[in-house]
Amino acid sequence: MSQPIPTSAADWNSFFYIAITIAMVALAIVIGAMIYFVVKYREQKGQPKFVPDFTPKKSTAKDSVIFALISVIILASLVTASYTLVPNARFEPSDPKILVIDVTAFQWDWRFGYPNGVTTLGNVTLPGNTTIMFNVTSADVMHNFYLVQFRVSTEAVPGRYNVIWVTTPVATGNEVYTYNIYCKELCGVGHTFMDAVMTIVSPAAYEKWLASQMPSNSTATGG
Amino acid sequence: MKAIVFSIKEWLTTTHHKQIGILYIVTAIFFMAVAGMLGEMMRTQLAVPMNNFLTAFDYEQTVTLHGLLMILWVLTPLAAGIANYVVPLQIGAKDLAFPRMNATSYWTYLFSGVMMISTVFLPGGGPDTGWTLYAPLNTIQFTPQPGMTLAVLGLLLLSLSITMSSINFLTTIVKNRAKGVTWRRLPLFTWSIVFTMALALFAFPPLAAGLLLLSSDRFLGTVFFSSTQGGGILWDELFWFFGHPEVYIVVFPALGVIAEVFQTFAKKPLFSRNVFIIEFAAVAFLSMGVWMHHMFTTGVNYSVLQTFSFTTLAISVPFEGLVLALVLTLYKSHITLNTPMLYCLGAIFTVTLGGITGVLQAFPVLDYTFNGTYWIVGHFHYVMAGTTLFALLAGLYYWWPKITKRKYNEKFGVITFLVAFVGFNVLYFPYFFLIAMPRRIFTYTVASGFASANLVATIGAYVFGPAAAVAVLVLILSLRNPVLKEANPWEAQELEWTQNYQHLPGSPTAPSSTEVAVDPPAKKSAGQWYWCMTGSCKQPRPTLSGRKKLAFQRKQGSISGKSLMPEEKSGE
Amino acid sequence: MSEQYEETEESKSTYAPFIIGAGLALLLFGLIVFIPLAIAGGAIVAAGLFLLFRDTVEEKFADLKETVGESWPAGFLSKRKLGVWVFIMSEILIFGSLIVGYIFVRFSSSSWPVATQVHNVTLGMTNTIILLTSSLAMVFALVSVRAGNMRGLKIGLIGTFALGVAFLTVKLGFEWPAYYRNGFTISSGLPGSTYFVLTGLHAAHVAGGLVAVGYLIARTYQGGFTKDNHAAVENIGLYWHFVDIVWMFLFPLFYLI
Repeated sequence: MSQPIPTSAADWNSFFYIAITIAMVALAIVIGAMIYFVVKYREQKGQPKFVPDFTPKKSTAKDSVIFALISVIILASLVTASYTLVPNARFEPSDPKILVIDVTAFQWDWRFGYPNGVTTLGNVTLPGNTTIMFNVTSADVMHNFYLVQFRVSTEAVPGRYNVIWVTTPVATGNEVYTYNIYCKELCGVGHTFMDAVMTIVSPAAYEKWLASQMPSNSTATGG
Repeated sequence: MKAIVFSIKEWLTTTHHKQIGILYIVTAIFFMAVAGMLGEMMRTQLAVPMNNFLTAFDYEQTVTLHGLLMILWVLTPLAAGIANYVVPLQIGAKDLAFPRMNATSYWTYLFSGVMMISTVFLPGGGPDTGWTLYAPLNTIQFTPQPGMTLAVLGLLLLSLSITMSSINFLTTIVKNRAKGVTWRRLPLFTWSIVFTMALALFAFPPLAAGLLLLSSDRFLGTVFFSSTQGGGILWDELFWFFGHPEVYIVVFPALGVIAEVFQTFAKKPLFSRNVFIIEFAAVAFLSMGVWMHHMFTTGVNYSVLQTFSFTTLAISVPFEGLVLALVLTLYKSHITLNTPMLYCLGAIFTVTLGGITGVLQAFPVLDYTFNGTYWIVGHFHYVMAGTTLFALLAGLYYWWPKITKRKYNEKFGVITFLVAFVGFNVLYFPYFFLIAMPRRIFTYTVASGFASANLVATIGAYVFGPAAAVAVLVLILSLRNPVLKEANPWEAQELEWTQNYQHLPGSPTAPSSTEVAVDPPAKKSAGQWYWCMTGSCKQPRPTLSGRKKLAFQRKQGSISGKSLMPEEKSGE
Repeated sequence: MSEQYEETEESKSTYAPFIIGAGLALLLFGLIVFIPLAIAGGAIVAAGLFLLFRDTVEEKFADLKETVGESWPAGFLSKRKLGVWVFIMSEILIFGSLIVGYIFVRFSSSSWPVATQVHNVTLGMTNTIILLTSSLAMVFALVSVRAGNMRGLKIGLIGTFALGVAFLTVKLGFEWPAYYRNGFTISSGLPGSTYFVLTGLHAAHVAGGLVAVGYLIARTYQGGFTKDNHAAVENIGLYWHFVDIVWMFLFPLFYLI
C-alpha cells in the first residue's frame, strides 16, 4: 500500500527540484565553459612556441557595470526566494483545532505526551488530516527530531521548547500509515538506534486508540 | 640510493621559513595518513547494513578524530607549510617577521596533534561527540572520559599555534616586502594567505574562548554548558562563530593556489585581477556574518535566521565571482594540461558543485531537511576534501621543483589524478541521495534503503584513499631524480620564480667576494608581463640586499642541494 | 643558465621553540594524566622561555631587522610593535567573546544576583585604582627611558611590578577567599562561573605581564636599555595597558551593574 506524501514534503520536493535544476544548469554552464576552454585552448604538439602577450589590458567601466548588474540580479532573485519560501513548520497555521503533542528526547528514545496525559515511548499515533503542534525539548543533551517523510526537523534543546507544526496526511477507515522519526544530532552511543515510529490513522480510530490508553497511563506529560 | 644526510639538530633548531615549511608539509601529510585511515575504517563499517567492524563507541570516536584532524591538523597546516615556503619568496623577504615564533608555531602544532591522537589510548577512550563538540554532550556528565578533556586542551594548543602563525604572516606581509612589491603587485597566493590569516586572527579566539569555558566546566565544575540557561545554544554560538570563518580559512589558500597554477599553465594573467582581490576581501568580510546558518534548526527566532539566510546567499555572489574569474582566465589562453593544472581543474569542478549545494542549504526551509544528514557531509567533503585537497596537492606539485629542484614523473602524476578524481566522485556523490540518513550513525538497517548508496561510496573510498596516498608517493619518489638545471622549469611569471637577487651596492650584508647573476637576454622577458599587469612597467623590479643560502641547502645530498646521484655535479 | 644566486650563511637556530612546544604539550597532557608531568612540562616551558629571552638579550637574532622595502600602511610601526598590536587584536577577540558570552547568559537567565550583594565593590575599586596607577608607572618608565633617565626607568618598572603584585594579592589573598567563604564560588552557578572565569583569565594575563615586566627589570639592571634602544619597554608597556583596559570593562560589568 503506497503511503500518502504529506503536503509539507510535496511543497519541499517541488521547491527542491526547481532549485536543484537551476543549480545543475549553473554547474553545466560553469563547468561546460571550463571544459570547452580547456579543450579549445590546450597546448598541442607541433604548435610553435607560445609567446605570452605582455600588453596590459585595461578593464573598462562597461565590464564592471555588467558584472555588478548580473551579481545584483542573481542576489536579488536568491534573496527574494529566501524571503518568500519560509518553512511553514515554524509558523502557526490558522487552524482552529490543533493537536498539541509534547515530545521529549532523551538518551536514547522519544517520549510523546498527549493532551489528556497519556504518554508513549518510541512511537506516536496521530489522527490523519489534522494540524499537529510538536512541542519539542530534551531531557539531557541536544537531539534532533527529524520527520523524514515530512521534510521537517527541529533541534531538541535542553531547557528550551522548540515548536513545529505539521499537517498529517488524510487517513480514512482502517488505513494505517507509518512514517519514520530519526534523531539527527549526535547524542551519544545510542544515537544510531534512536528511531521512533509515527502511525497515522483516521481521526475516529485515533480517538478510539487514545481512549484505550487512558486507564493504564496516568503520568503527566513529559517535559 | 645514497642516504640523505640529515642533521637532526638542524631540523630541531631551525627557524628558517623554508625548513619550517617542509616540516609543516611532512607533518600534515602524516596526519592526513592517520585521518585518512580513520576515514577508510568508517567507510568499511558503513559498507553493508548492520555491520560490526566498529562498535558504536569506536565509530563515534573515529568520526570525531577524523573530522578534527582533517580540518585542523591537515588542511590548514598543509596550506601553512606551502605558505611558509613560498610567501617570503613571493614578497622578496628574507624570512618571516618572527622566525622563532614561526618555529614555535610548528612545534606546538606537532605536539598538539600528538596529544589528539593519544586521546584514544587513554582509559575511557577519546572524544566521541563529533568534531563539533556540541554542548551539553561535551560536559563531564555525558562524556566523562579524560580523553575528551585532553582533546579540548589539544585544541587550545593548536589555537595558540595558529594565532602565532597569523600574527607572524600578517606582520611579515605588511612589513617585510621588498622594494617594488606593492599591495597591487602582491602575488595572488600571498593575497589568499593575507585573507586566510586575517580570518584566523578573528576566528580562533572565539573558539579558544569556548574551549576555555568548556575546560573550566570539565576541570573546575563551572556550569556554562550544563546549565539549561542557554548551555547548548551558547556553545553553538561560540563554536560556529569560529566554525564558519574556519571553513573559509581552509579553502582560501586553495583558491590562491589555483590562481597561481592557472596563470602559469594557461600563460595568461588572471582575469580581472583587481576585482578578484576585492571579491576575496568581500568573501572574507562576509564570512564573519553567516555563522548562524549552521544553527537553522535550533529554534532561534526566525527573523534572526532570515537575516543569516540573506547573508549566506549574499556571500555566494562574490564567491562565485572568484570561481568565474578563475574559469575565465582560461579563455583565449594556452593551456598545458599537466598534473598541477589537472588537479586545479578538478578543484574548480568540486568547488562549483560543493558551492551550489551550499547555496541550497542557505534556504532554511531546505536546510531543515539537509541539516544533520549526509547531504551536508557530501557538501563539505566536496569543498574541503575536493577543492582544498586537490588544490593543495596541485600546489605541492607546482612548487615541487622550487622546493626540491627536481621534477616528478608527469605520467604517473596525471594517472594518479584521474584515478583519484573518479574515486572521489564515486565516494561523495552518492551522499547527495542520502538526505534521509542522519550523520554519525554507525550502521543502518536493510529496511532503511541506505545500503546501495553506501556500498558505492565505500568502493569509491577504497579507490580515492590509496590514490591520494600514491599522489604523495609520486612526489616522494621524485627525490631520486636528478637535480634540474633550470630554476624555472615552468617558465612561470610570478615573483618567486623570477626574482633576481643582487647585492645593493654598499649594503652592509654584502660579502667581500660578490657575484651577481643576471638573466641572459633571452629570458629577460621572464616576469615582465606580470610586472606590467600588476602596476607600471617603468617601476624597477624588486631586488634584495642578499638572500642567504642555508647550511642544509649546501650540504651534500640535502633536499634542496646536491643530487643524490654521485655523478651529478652539485646544483646551487 | 639563469640560476638564482644565493650567498651562504648559517641559519639562526635555537632549541627554544622545540622546547616550548614540547613543554606546553607535556604541561597540558600532565594536567589530565599525571600532575607531576604537568609540573615538569611547566618547568620545561620556563626553561624554553628563559632561552628565548637570553637569545634576545644577546641580540642573536638582531640582524634579522627589517630591510628597507614596502611597508604601507604600517611604515611608522616597527615589525615588533606591529606584531604586538596584531596580538592585542586577537586578545581583544578572546576577551570580547567571553564578555559577549557572559552578557548572553546573564540576559537569558531569569534571576541574577544584584552586583553589590555578591561583589566587594570596595576591593574591586581598590584594584581598579591599583591597576590604573600601575599603567601610570609604566608610562613613567617609558618617558624616563626616552629621556635617558635610567633611574626613572627602574622606578617605573619596579613600581609597575609592585602594583601588579598588589593587584593579585588583593584579589587572590583577600577578595576571593571571602567569596569562597560566603559560598560564592566558581561552581556555585552561572554568576560565580562567569565572574571567576573572566576575572581569572584576566588575572592570568596580569601574571603573564608580571613575567614580562620582570624580564624588563632584569634587562635594565644588566644595562640592556638605552635612550635609543628600548623597544621592549614600549611593546610590553602596550600589552600592560591593554590588560588594564580589559579590567576597565570587567569591573563595571561585574561589580557595578
